[in-house]
This record gives sequence, C-alpha cells and structure tokens, in this order.
Amino acid sequence: MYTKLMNVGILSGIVLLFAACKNEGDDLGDENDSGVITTVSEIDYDFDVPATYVFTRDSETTVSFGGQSDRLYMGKEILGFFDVNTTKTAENVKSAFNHSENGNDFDDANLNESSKKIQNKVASSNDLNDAVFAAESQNLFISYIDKFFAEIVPSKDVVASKGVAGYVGEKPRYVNSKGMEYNQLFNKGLIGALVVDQVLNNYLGDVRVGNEEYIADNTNETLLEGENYTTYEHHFDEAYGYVYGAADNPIAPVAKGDDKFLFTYITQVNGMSAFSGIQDQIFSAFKIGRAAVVAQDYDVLEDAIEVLQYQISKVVAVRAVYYLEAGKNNLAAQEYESAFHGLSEAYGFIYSLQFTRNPNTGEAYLSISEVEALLSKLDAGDGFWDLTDGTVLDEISNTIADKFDFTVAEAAE
Amino acid sequence: MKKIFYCLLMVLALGSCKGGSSVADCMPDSFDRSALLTNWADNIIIPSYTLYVDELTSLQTAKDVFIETPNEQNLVLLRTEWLEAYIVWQNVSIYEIGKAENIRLRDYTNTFNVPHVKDEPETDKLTGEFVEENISSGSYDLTLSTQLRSQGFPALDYLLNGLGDTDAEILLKYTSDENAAKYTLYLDDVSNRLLSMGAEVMTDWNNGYRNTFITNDCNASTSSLNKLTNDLIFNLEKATRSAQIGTPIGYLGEPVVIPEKVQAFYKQDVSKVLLIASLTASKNLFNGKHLNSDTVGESLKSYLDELQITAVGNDLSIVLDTYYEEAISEAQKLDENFYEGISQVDIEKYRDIRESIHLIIEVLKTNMISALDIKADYSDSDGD
Repeated sequence: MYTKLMNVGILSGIVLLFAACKNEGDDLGDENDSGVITTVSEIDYDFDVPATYVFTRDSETTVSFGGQSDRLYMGKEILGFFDVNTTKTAENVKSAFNHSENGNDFDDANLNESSKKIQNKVASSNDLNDAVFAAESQNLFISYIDKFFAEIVPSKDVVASKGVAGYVGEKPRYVNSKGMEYNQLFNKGLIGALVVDQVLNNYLGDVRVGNEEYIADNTNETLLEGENYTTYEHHFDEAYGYVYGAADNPIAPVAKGDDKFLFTYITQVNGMSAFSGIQDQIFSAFKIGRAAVVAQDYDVLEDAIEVLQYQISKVVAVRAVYYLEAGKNNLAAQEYESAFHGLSEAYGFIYSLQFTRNPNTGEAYLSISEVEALLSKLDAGDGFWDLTDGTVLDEISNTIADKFDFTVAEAAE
Repeated sequence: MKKIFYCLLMVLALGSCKGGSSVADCMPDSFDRSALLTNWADNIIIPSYTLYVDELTSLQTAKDVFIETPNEQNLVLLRTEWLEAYIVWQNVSIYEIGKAENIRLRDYTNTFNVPHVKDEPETDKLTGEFVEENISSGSYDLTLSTQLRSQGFPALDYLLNGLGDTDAEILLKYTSDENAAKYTLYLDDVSNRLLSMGAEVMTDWNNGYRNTFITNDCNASTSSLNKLTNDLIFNLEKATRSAQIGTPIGYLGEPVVIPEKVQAFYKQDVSKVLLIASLTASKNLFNGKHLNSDTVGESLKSYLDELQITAVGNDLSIVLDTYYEEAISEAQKLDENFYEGISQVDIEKYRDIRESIHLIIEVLKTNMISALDIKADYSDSDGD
C-alpha cells in the first residue's frame, strides 16, 4: 500500500505491466483483497488522535473547509427553490446552481459573496478525470431544475395519475408523469455526484493523495502561501468539509444541523441496528487520517482512507435499499404519497452509487453502466406506477446488497 | 475513464512484452506519432507561418505607402492589411514551440490585456496608454519584457484606429500633430518588429527546425507532441478563453467588467471575427485539417480514433469536434463588437461562450491527454 500511495502514477503502472506480462487476464484486484481494512479498530497507529476535529500549528488552527460549507448551504437553499409556489424561475435556480461571486442568487448574503459554486464540482473529481461525463452529469441536474419548472409547477393543481404529472396525497408530494419528485432526484443524486465523488474520488482519491509534490511539501511542512496548512492537510479537510461542513458543531458533529446531504444519512443509517456505530467509524477515520497527515504516517493515512471508502459507500447503498423496500411496502398498501417520495429518494441514492469506491478494487461498487441498468428499470414504462407488485424493487435491492456485505433485510429495517 | 486507463496500461504492457523495450519507447502504441507531427508541420504550421509572414509583408508594404503618403485611402488599406494579418495570427498564436517559444512570439505579438488585480491599477491600463507613454518619452526598447503591452497587433490597433474618432482626426496625428514624426516612427517600429519576429520563426522552421520537430516523437514530456498539445490547450485557455472573453467580463477574481479589455478594442467591430478565427484554428489543429484546404491528415483526432477512445459511450474525437462546433456557432451569435456587447448590462451570452470554450479545455485536459498519455506541463488553480 505504501508504494501505491507514494508512486501511484508510475509504480502501479509498472506493477500492472509486469502482472500483465506474467499472467494475462488475471484479476487486477485480487492481491488487494486480503489487505483492505474496513473499520478503525483495525488501524494501528502510534500517534495521538484528538477527541475532536481540531488540529493546530503554533496554536493556530490548520483546518479550513469554508468552501465546502458554502456549497452545502447553497445546496440547501437550492433545494428550497424546488417549490411549486416559488417566485423564482428556472433561470434563477440554474444561476444559483452555477453561482458566480456576488451573484444575487441566495437569501444568505454570505453565499452570494462566495466565489464557490456547486455545478462545476459535480462528477468532476480528479480520479474520474472525465470532463465529458462531468458535463453530462451536470446537465442531468440542470435538467431536473428545468423539468421541475416545465412539468411540475404548471400541474401543481392536477391530481397525479399514471402518465400525468401533478400532486399526490395530502402533504402533498409533487411528481412527474412517472411518479418522480425532481427535488429528491436532485438532492439524493448530489449526495453521490457532489459529496461522495469529491470526498472519495477527489480529495481522498489517488491523484491527490498520491501526488508526490504534495507529499513532499507535507513532509517538509511547506505551508501554502499565506496559510497555516500544507496542501495535503487542506485537501483532507476539504474532504471532511463535504461531510460535516453544515453540521451542528462541525468539530464534533452529532446532529445533522443544516446538512441536507451525506451527513444527514450517516446519522440515519447509524440509527439502524445493523449499522449502529457507522457514524463513529466515519468520524474517527477522518480524525485518524488527519492526524496521520500531521504525523506524516502515510500508511495509516491509507488505512483511514480505506475505512472511509468502505463506510461512506455503505451509507449510500443502505439508504438506496432502505427506500426501495419502504417504497415496495407503501405501494403494496397503496400509499402512493409515501411510496413515490421514498422511491424518488431511492432513485437518487442508486444514481449516487456510481460515485462510491470499493477499497478492494479502487472502483465504484456499481459501475456507471450497472447503475444505468438499475435506473432504467425504475424509468421503464410509466415509472413508479408500474412497480406495484414489488418484484422489480426487490430485484434492484438484491443487486445492490450483493455488491456489499449487508442483507436487504438489514437495510430494510 | 478507469477502463480507458487500464486499457492504456494493457497497451503499454503488450508493447513492452513484445519488444522487451523500455516504457519510454518512441512508439508507445500503434499510432504513428511522426505522421501526426509531419502533418502538423507540413500542412498546418509551416503554411500558417508562410501565410502569416505574407500578410505581414503586405502590412509592411501598406505601412510604407501610408508613411510616404498619409491619406485616408492609405490608412484604410493599412487597416485592412492589419486585420488580415491579425486573423492569420490567431493560428500562429498556438504554435509556441521552438524559436517562437524562445523569443516569446505570442507575448510580444498580442498582449492586449492582463487580468484585473485589485489595488494594482497598472493591470487595467490600456494599450493606448503604454503607446502614448513611449511616444511622449521618445525612448523605448521594444525588445524589453516590460514592453509587452506597447507593441504588436494591439499597438497597431491603437495607432490605426484609436488616435481619433474619425479617419481625418487620426490622419492629423501623422501629419500636422506636433508629435507627427514620433507617431510615424512608432508605427514604423512596431510594424517592423512584428514582421521581423514572424519571419525569424518562419525561417527557423524552414532551416531545420521542421526535422527537429518531427523527429522528436518520443514519449517524453519534451516531445513535440506533448509540447504542442499543451500549447494547443494553453492557447485555447489563455489566449482565447481568458484574454478574449474572461478578462474583459471580469470572470476571475474580483468581478470587474472592463469592456475596454477586449481584443481589438480600438477597432471594436472585429473582436468576434478574431475569436472565431482563434477557435477555428484550434479546431483545425485538433482535427489535422490542412490550412485553407478541406484535406484532413493525422492529428489528435485520428490518434484518439486509432486508440478507440470513447467518453460516455461516444467517440471522444467526435465529442470534441462537436464541442468545438458548438462553441463556434455560439460565438457566431455574439455581437460583432464585443466592447459594446460587454458594456451592456446583460453579459450572460459572454459567460455562456466562456463556458463552452472551458468545456473543450476540460475535455482536452482530462479525457484526451490521459488517453494519449500526454502530461500537462502546466496547471492552474482549481478554484477551491
């Protein structure tokens, strides 16, 4: 693991090269299977890890993730703009999604002044390194905004039915002609395309973590100009910020606070009996990883990252299955309002699975095409209206759970 | 993307198994890089320099005629030659390699703005101010790097279009103005230097650099393919996207819209023509399209096709060509006169064209160069 981290570009290429020469067609992931660790208790380290996410140099903090908090708060406001009685236009909401500094997009003036934006971070991680895919993914989220204004707002007083957009139930929920809520697709989709991708495939990804220049600067404690941190420290904090940047008390996060994205669902999965403790696994892995950066112990850092890959990916998968199964039960009971709401969330979480990262393979637990295949089952025909017998939903749940080490029953609790 | 990565490694692995040679083999894959370099050199780069120097020679002649007889007809003719050379320059701007890199041809030929920096008023000064300073002091050395903003096409833009509101007023500066001799001398100096720099680079290509360029086809970061591909990306990012659009609309940093920072501010109605020329030159180099011909040869496009590189299920070469097409057709919808357009309240379409160009750059920088195993030789901040 150490060489992989240090020389991820060249050395792993050479290793693969020899492997390919010796034994063509061998599974490239095999040799990693035994070495991967998934819980913090398996990490051996010989440095102090603080109780809270507080790290200092000369008594001044070295932690900074303001840009990540900004984006989480921007996301929260944008979700609020998916309102059938809004005075905003699709253009206003798209402008907020693609915010530019001093643009008057948000209610929170601090966000208007921010130079950060969500759009260009969607599916844009260094490890994915695919600008065509990024552009297509960004366009998908833009299309949710457009479709909300084109399909949902005009039919807000129509009773939804098979093939007809409108409202469902008492609350009510506003759905498209297939029973889907665009705000849920947007919200839960961004958990993967923004948060998980930025955390696992960007800031904790091979390109950044394996960057020899950053490692050397960290080892020499060469600080970023005008800052109290090394680039390496800062990148780790930016990963942390995408998870906890909008939580109550981000240095010791327990309650979700203003978070609408990943952390909210970490707390929810943590409340399920089969997954109790996952919140502490993730928080502790972040603390250990950050302390490892300070201690320049890059083996431990790699271990902590593996735990984060495993645990964070699992949160997304558990929620996908949870909502699929809840949707199935609600459909059986003809509770369409709850069913469509839950299935919309499931749709977003399934979409998000393509941004997860399996520490055994370095790839997503479900590939882009596997995710597409699952989503097309939900999209087919009249969408959620056609899923009442539950077989398709169980099928999808099983496919997902099979990729992980939990059962559908555990996630459906 | 990962798949492409592994495919590439497999390609590398197979190559090394077969030949038993090192990773830094001159033929890293099945594509003939020297054929690409030959096509670029013989059908795009050298013809571009030849045409460019032709245009500058015509400009030179028109300048001499104008200095001899400074009248309106000769001013109009000189201006026409200036624009024709400026359009061809948009091609040459890309090839910052060899002698051009050595003498900083791009910087000395077309530095018409720098991005706004807060509390640094120098960053917002216009070409005309630099030119006037030189003319009034009467002592200047255009070969100094402190003089980048007082020469080249932007200085000629000022001298031919910016000295007065009408042609009659401009002519006065070369005839009855107390500094008429100085204006005339400056016009002479700037034109001469433009031609001599262009000719120097062309001569170098014709006297041996072509072979150096073509034979340097190994897979090192200093190889011609690596360097010129980086030049293509750098030019599209800095000379096209940032200088022509981003900086005038104050896209980065402190958002200050300064429409005077457009390319050809003094002429005003040619910024769009120049932008389209710049985008088209970039597209043609990518596609391997011969200068002023419909023939297409080996290029980055055919290289991507040879390796069967795809993105989101489509051929990457086609995706890129489409992105170029879209940016060009979007550019065609802009105002002829960027200065007026950007002075309007609604600069949304300028932001849009910037995004379209940015998308091409992103795809070149990520999908393409990783697929072709080319290393980016520069990076910029990622804005986080």
